[in-house]
Amino acid sequence: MLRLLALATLCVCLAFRTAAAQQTRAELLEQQRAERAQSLEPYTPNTLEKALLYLEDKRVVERLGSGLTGLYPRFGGFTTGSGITFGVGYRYALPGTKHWEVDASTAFSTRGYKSVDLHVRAPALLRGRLEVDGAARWWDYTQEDFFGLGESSVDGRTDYRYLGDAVTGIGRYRLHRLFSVGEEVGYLRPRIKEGTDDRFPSTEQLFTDAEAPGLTRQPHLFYTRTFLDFDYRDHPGNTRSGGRVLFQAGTGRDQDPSREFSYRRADLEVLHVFPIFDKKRNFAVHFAASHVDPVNGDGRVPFFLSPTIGGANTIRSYLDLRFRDATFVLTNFEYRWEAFSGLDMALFWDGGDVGRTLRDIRAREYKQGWGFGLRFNTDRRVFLRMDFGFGGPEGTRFFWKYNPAF
Amino acid sequence: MMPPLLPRRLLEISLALAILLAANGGVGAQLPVYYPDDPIARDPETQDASKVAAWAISDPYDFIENTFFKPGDRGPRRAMNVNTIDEVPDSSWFTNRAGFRPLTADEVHRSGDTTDGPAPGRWTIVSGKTDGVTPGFTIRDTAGATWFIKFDPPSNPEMSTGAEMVATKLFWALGYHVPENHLAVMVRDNLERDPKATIRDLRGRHRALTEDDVDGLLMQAARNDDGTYRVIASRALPGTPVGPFRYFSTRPDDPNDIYPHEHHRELRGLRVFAAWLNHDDSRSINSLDTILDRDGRRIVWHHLIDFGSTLGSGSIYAQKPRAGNEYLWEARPTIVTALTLGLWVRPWIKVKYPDIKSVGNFEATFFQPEAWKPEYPNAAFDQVQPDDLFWAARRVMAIPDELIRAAVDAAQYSDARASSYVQSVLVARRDKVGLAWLTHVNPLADFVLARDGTLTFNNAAVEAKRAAPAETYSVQWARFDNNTGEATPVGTAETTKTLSARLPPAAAGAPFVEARVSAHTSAYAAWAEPVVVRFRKEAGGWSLVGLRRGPEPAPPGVTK
Repeated sequence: MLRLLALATLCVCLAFRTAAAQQTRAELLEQQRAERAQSLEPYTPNTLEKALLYLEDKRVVERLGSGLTGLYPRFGGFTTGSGITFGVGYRYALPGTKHWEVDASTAFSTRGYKSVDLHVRAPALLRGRLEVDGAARWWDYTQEDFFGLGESSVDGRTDYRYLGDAVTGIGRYRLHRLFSVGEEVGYLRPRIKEGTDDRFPSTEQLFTDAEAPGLTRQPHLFYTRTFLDFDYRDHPGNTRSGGRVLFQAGTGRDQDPSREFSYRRADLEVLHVFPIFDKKRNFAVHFAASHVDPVNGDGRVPFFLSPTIGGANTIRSYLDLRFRDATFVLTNFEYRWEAFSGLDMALFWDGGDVGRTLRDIRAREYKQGWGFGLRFNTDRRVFLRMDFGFGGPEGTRFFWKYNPAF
Repeated sequence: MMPPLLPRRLLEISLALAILLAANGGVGAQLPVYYPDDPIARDPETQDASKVAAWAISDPYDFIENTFFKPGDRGPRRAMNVNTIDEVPDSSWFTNRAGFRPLTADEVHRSGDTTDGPAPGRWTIVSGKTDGVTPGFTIRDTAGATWFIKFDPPSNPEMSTGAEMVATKLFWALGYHVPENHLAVMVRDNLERDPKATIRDLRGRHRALTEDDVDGLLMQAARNDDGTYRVIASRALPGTPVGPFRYFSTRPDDPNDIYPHEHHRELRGLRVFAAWLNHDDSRSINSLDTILDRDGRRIVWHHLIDFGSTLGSGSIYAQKPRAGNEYLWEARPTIVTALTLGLWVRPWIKVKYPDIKSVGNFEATFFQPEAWKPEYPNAAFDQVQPDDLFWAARRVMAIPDELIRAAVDAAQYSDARASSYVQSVLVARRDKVGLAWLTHVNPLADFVLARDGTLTFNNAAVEAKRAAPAETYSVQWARFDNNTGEATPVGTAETTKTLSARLPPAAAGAPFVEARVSAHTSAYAAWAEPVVVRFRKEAGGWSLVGLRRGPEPAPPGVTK
């Protein structure tokens, strides 16, 4: 510090001496510049600036926002409770094509979840009207929760290991800017094994195959799904106005001659977001319902394919996958307000229930919860959501997600 | 982050302070306060700067540093690059225009352009632009000149290009060095690709530009009904680009860059101009330094570039209502909004804007010049002092309605409502700027001491019709010793109701005289703080050599 002060003092003294030696202001300034010319040095950015310059040069943020090409990190993608996920993927344009790309990725979690995914997709054929995605997937979810079907108790919490592989093909055709139709076909080979979570018994220890259909034998299924999508959200990744009506209907055909696990399924989702004050505030209303039925009168629906509610995207005061049955109804209200341009706050109320049929569901028996949340976002995307759910019998729930609630 | 910078910063400030002391008459008894060539009209860049290296500035880092670390010298200090009469000499940063000499509408319309735009004929694309906010091309015209081509967003035809044209003209008139920007019509069939044309892909790698890339970029542009595109053609700046400048500190490898940028008056004053024109994007990345030849020497020339986010334009969308009203990050409104569940509504959210697509969100009713803010803190803006604001406000007020009209005409809005609206808002915002910053310091200016000893001056606030005249003016004369810097009062203060006074005979024989001139009005207490002016006796009469507006703290150890 003393050396520094001495240098600074010398600088001032030099200027005084210099001033005395000059006859004009121009000469004085010239002398000052000549002296500066003796002590020039290149600019050296610090570590943070170097790192940010690198990210900008390699366009990492833009690549994250628009879908990475080349090697990319993978975060999330498993169910809640799977632990911290790490993964890596590689995406590249299919040689010799204009619109097709291949995307291969794998991920692991701290609780042993694993998956391998391969996609061949063309997101914008026919001038952007047709989207096609063919996928093959293998997964191993080591400790999925199961509480029983219908009115279940948290005391009955068990876990099971859900493995499987599937191939699917999805086509979506945009009939109008806001309206599209699509079809998915696929082949699914699930397997259920003993859960690995030491805290809870494995599912087969508490439930029988009658109570958890599919526990003993898992069907190989050929399935189809048809959907109609009226999507008028301003930004699907961070909706501040507009909404969506999505209706899906499909079947699963058990490849066993008994057709025991063949099913029909229908899902409806309705979202509307009311903007207030230039979208700086908004109020979202979300409704969803789902129903699945065995095709045969004496058939059953595999428990692991039954509609489920509870958790980060349904009722946030309950554990994920908390309630399962053939039918669910879900209602969410969420009021969001912008704290600053990168953060929205939210207050929400969630309610819903499950039952064998729609008639079994009573509004007064709704499982309810409320809470607040933070949404770190850009104009177009919520990239981090933190929700705190209260009001359920299972205490405060906290969710950390990389997508919007709905 | 900051500590490594501190030693260098202290040295810079010391050096600049020394220069300032010598330049403004505060040095010890053996030094003259004023040199024979004072006040200088040009700050001479005398050193060869050919070794200045190109650098890149990280925009996110610039945001972080300016928002959370307050870089630069933060003490209240007069601008360092002003001459002895408180004006900014011409330099590589600034050229005095409006308020310094009369400008014609034609001059503003041309704004120093050397061409009428790209030469007729086919445009050869030499590269595509996918980084930054706005997409575009770099083209070469048939005369071999390089131009950067920028578009309007499809949602707001004419908005971004219109704002860019208007702001270019007005920033030029205000004295800044700006690119040669032209409106042009681009025809798809008139484009051809240079065989070596490249584009940066999503991985940041340069690869060959394809026809699909061209079409992809054009998809992001507003298209005219006839299939053509209205574009800004921005001529490549003369010289070798070496990257943007920062609004604080100096460029460490430029020998001519002796004043920390936060102490440049024209950079501090840019806060006023940016407020007027809603240039919320006034940050480092929207500047560019080039090395060029001047007077046989290679020097760094400083430019403001990219005015797509001015007036009501946010470049690729209509300007956000937050822009100009709040930084990207501000703790207080964020916390208050969060804690009140959003029931507290920021006042700017309720502002109504006209439904004119080519204008975007631009207005003058809610606009408060003092409260205006860029996207994030700017060290030079933060350092602005009342005399800097006054200097800049005078420049703004020196642009009359007809020059504003000339600038707006350059935008060639097809909707007459847009022209009329933008012009009226610019006039109204200009007048608000004048009211805000011409009146908060003693606004007396244009001092002349005639050979017969008559001192005349103007009241800039009154002249601009922003204030009523003062009730009285008082003038305290003194003999001024140019060697010691001491002023010896002559008689008592003279009170007058006119904008003039008489030099007492007892002072008339002195080689230097000083007048401390105050204005007295119940409306503005600040006007009582005298403007200190000093004149030197020369063969042809008295010449103004010194002016100081407002109090100046004495630097430590320096005789005043």
